[in-house]
Amino acid sequence: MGIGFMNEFALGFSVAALVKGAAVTLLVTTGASIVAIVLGLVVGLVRVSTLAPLRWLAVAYIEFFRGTSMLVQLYWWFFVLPIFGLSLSPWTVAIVGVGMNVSGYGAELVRAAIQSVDRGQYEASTALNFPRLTMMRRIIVPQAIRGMLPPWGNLLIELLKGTSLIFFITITELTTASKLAADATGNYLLFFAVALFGYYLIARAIITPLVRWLERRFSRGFIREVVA
Amino acid sequence: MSIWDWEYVWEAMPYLLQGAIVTVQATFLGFAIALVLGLVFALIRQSQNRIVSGTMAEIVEFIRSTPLLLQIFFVYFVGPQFGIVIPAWTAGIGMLGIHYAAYCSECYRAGIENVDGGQWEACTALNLSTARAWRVIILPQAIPPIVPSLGNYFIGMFKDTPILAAIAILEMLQRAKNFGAENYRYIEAITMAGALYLLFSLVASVIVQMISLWLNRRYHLQ
Amino acid sequence: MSDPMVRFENVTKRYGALTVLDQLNLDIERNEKVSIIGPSGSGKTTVLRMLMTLERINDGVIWVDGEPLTHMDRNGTLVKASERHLRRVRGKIGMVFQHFNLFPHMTALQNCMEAPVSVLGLPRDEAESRAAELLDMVGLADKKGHFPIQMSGGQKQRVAIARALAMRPKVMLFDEVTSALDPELVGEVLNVIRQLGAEHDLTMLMVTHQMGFAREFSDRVCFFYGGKIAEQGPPDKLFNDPDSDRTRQFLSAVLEAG
Repeated sequence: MGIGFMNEFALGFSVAALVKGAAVTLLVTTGASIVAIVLGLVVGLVRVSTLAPLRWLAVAYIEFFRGTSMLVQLYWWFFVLPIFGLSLSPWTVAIVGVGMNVSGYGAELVRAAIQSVDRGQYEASTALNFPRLTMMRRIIVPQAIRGMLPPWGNLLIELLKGTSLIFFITITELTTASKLAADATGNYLLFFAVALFGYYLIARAIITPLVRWLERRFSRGFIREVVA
Repeated sequence: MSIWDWEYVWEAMPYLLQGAIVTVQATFLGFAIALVLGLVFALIRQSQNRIVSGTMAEIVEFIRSTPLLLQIFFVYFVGPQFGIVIPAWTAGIGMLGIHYAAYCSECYRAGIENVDGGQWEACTALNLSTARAWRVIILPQAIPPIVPSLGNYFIGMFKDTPILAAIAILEMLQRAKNFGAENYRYIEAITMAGALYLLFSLVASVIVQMISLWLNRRYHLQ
Repeated sequence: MSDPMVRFENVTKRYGALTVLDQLNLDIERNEKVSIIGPSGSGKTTVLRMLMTLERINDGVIWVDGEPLTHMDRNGTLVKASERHLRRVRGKIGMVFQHFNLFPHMTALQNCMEAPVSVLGLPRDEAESRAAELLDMVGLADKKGHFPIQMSGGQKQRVAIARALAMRPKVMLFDEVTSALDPELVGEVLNVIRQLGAEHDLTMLMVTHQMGFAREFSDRVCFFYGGKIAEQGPPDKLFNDPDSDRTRQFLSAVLEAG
């Protein structure tokens, strides 16, 4: 009886921990997504700048963040930066570290989308005498956004999965929580299956529909709409 | 105490290289699994049976939307709960391979769907068997164009190997971290590990480009 | 005599080892309508693209309205034009493309308003009424709110003409503007160009394969061959009694094709 009570107690406790872990994962995913999107856009735009030195900086940024492993980067933020007197909280490391890693990939998506906009659009903009920045802002980027949304959807799912790596730096997100709960109760199948399904749900019930919705919003003029 | 000490670099190096061997082994083994299993997944997805292809699509989707770390935990820890003990190395490499097989199957699919539909019609007209059509006509056209994207997953897998540390496989990054913890100095070991990842990524991408060029020439594609 | 509207002075254009235009000299007078014809690869489209600054020139000077376009005057010598100079002089030129190049994410009206607002700095309501007027002129008053994908090729090309006119250019360039159109839609676009020529003070330079239209509409026809002007003159002379054998061969080949 005592054991049964303990088990139930542990189970209830573990479920609560799992829910909290899921909330942490959502929070870190949201924060890191914002970091990744903002930095990805900025670096991607610098990558197609007309100034060569700026372009090189962007290339270095992209190669660095894509070339080294995400976990190496997290460790660097977490273990190495304190040597320079910069101690970041695990939360900052999680959000900035995951976000900056993904921004390297994001910048490449931005570059590819911008460069795939039809050459005729650049020529028409020159013929209409647009300054370069206006051309990018009003003509090129709005068209590029539509093309880059589907790959961004995949990238944000990669980001979600990447947040599981903060298992290694002491924040109890969904993966860590499920491991702790499974260790505590001995029921690995249950807790890992629930956690796997949790990620699947976040990816397919939140991220994918959100990106689809954005795609619809940005597809104005690209899909033949019913004319009222 | 200086910020960067070469003494520690030389001290950590043999330690890191030992880990690098594990990392490279894991990558090659895992990727071999991914290439073969990915093709199997892709071919199952091409099945005429809606239920079979649909189920395969869902499985691929599920594998791609959940973290590798959790998948490895699942394989490694759930077995013993039912009395089946899977060694860490088997569980780790196996899951690494299955995870990337899901990605590779999407590459294969894109390659297969890009082969001109007329090729299938020509195979039918020449009365080739389906198996032979796949092997001699379709796949030789489908695979060379997707070598660059398969190569990206190869590099991606390499960068995912540190996850194996979670089930006590001592690969390069884990060794770097242990070295850091023992000496109370993380900067050299972790930075060197990062540099080795970067070096490998750059070298691998050059090799992938070369393979891709060679295959395209071999099969007289663009 | 006043300066010509456009002057090509010894203009050379090369792509690597290939010389596309060789020491081109060509003057176009104010309000003159000039057609450029010739086989593909003769450099005729390059002439328009250089004038629109879409291609750099390797040698020579292009003048527009009495001032250098590709260069600028610094203490009596011509130096390579700065971006600022280029933008100022380029404002006198408008261009219509073979493949329309409309902005797909904007309606017909927005396509015609964007540049006047963000380049010329016109207030929105003024730009809008100007755009509406121009769309009315090209016969598309009822398509203002349509996106390019909702329009036929002929309609798109008419929007493109209105869009170029909204910048009040002095020179209009037409680069094979009917080549991408289905045959039955060619007429509506040519009609708009005809009307433009009749009602506006515009210098017009067009590359075209529509020999009938070139003959009826232009003041002068230039036949390009191998990066040079092989022959030029009034359309009646060039089409009926060409001096050069090359011209004769080209014309008979085109006429044979129908």
